[in-house]
Amino acid sequence: MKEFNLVLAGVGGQGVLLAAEILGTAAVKEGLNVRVGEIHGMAQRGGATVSTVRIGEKVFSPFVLNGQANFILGFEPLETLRNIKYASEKTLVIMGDEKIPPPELTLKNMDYPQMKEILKKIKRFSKNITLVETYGRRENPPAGAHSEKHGLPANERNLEKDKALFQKHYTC
Amino acid sequence: MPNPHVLLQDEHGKRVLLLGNEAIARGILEAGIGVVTTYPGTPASEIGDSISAIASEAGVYMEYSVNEIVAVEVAAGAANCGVRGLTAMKHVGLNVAADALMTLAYVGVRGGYVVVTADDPECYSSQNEQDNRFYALLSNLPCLEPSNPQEAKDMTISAVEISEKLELPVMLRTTTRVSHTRGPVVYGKITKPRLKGSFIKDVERLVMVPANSRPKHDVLLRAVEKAKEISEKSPYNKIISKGKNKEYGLISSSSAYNYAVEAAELLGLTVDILKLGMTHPLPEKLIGQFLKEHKKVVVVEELEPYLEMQVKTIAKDYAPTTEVYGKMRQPHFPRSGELSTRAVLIGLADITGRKLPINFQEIDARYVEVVTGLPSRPPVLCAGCPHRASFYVMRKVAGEKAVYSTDIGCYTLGIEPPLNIGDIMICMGASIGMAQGISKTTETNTIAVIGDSTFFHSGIPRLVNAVYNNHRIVVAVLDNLTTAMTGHQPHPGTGVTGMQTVSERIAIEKVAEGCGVKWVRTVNPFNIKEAEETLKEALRYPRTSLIIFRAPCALMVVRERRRKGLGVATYRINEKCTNCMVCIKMLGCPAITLEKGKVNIHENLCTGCGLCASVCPYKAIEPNATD
Repeated sequence: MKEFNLVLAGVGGQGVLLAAEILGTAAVKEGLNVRVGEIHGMAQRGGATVSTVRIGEKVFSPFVLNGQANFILGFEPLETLRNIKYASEKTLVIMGDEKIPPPELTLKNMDYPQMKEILKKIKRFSKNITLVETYGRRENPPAGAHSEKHGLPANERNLEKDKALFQKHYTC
Repeated sequence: MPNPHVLLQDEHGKRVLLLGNEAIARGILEAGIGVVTTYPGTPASEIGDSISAIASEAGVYMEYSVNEIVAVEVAAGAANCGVRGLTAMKHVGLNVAADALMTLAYVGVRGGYVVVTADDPECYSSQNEQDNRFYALLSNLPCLEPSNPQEAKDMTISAVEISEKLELPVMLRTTTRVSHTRGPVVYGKITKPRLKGSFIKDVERLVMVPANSRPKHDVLLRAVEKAKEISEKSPYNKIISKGKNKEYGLISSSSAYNYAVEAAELLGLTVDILKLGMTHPLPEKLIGQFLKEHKKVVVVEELEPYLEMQVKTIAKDYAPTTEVYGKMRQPHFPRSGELSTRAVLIGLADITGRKLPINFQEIDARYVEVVTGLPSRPPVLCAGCPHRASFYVMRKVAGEKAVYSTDIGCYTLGIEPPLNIGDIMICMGASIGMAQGISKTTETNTIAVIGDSTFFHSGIPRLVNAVYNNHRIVVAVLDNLTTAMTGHQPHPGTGVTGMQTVSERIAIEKVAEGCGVKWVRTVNPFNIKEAEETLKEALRYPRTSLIIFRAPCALMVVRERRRKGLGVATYRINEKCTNCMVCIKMLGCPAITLEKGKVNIHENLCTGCGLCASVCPYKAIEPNATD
């Protein structure tokens, strides 16, 4: 494996940073080189959040280039679309269906875009998309569910161990 | 946040995923640093926070100082007694601390002392993107620049050692991308910190009156020469990947180095890269030799052409025929904003005439088509934030015409519609300062909006100025009992210290009275009627008045209730709702949304502050029944 690039996108508070950190920790436990990129501070207050996880010997920076993501984990449909430039036709997109309307929509009395429209736009980048029911299931975030099947170099055993570890070590 | 106790594990050789800032905290423990001071600020905050959580166990003294210059003074005082120290701050914090640091460079230190400056290219959480490497040039202090978490830890230790060797403070300069990137870090041994020092009286060395300062300037310049020798031999300044192609060579540092390596690889450029980790003073001979060996040298760096300016000066003496590319004469790379692999790819392709491996134009065009009209999602005040109530009161009472001079903190988000509070903002504390000039030169009501932590940081001298010079302003201290934006650090109004011990709270009311303010009131902003009446009265007062809008940060309230096993009493819309939208148009609370055109309260987001219920003209918002 030369390089594995993941992009995680969602809204501040959904656990994007935590999921990226769990994946990064799993990679370190597998003895791999990894970079996890994130933005804190101002960006946290309900704003759009994006994290990257890059795994590979020759990985130096946390930046994923356009069209170079192997895997996009979208926690929220609009935010998945906002980061779709990282996808190519080979990218696997896993998207949760919990819609969080941006305040701008509410203020302008506009509806959240139709899921059909969002999917159509996403498919202009990758047709390889799996929709996961996350609405009303906060306790089961999509992280890890499909990871090994799609060649993510962290096995379920470590993810399970990490889950226990993180429950012990993290407050969120 | 991660459990900081991971940082205390004394397992030499253990490999752990750490954030750049956590790696610096680990470096503090391995270097045996005894005194750590900080004022929180993104992207530096996690350095102090990680140490604060483990300070008593680690035997380190840690404090959240009232501001950055005090933080430098406290640690520099300790370092002058032979105890190792470190102060962490964001880039603009160094502006506050600069007065101390510039002359501390003359006085020097006995125990190793490191000043961490975390710069913020792209202004992710800052008011500017100044390049603090120039502080190293200005002060003559040595500067190290890590490019990843491992280096961040290692360079913290090296910085202490260099500082002790030269008896000078040393700068450790990170950027957001270094401070907030996680990567594997291999642990070294923890060194038990020494906290006890001794003060050796030496007026000529330590008291900077002119007669002593003049010779100390020369002492400093001699130390820079010694630092140059260290830089020439430093393992952080090295040539990586000996390429066959001697036509081109790259010089880079910090995050830019990561982008340069990846971009060169993507372009198939097998070239030498001179990686600079000690960027002040620069290794002149090493750079000179590198310039001699290559016909064309490309300097890849973020923000200002700090390296390029100096590399060009060195080239004049060592290799006048070598071409130096960067951003000065011809801008091959951007001088503003965060650098990226993409920007470096484009610049390098342009210089070397190679073809880009990715069709950015095609992807961009397709991307623009799918995201045009996509609603933006800027950060907003949280659901239940007491600032929203304060701003609602200000808008209602003082209205559109009043000038709102605002400050640095969560409340800066008040500029977003529909609250629209915040007409001018530059730096910590300036809300009160600028309000005075605005009030003096206009007939307008002027309200200075400042947070509790910012008030202690730098509001107090401005308040004294306002009172003494009879400026007619209203100072609105939005006191949410914490330093919220940076992660809930304590300040003198909270009653907690960086060592997580209890201290007597300093009351903002008493401070204001002590500064001479004759009209001081405290209100709970959720008590809308009382808050409105109080603000009206303040606006009628002919001199400086001060209102403290006090209610705890909503995030703290929710956390506290969860910890106690108490649920959050959320609100709901009842049948009286006429869909008049007053709640939405006046408050802009993220928990109030429209579902198929009908006002709805998002149960997962509502924190039960009840502000919407207070403003609803039809009593159509009521609490949900609690269990």
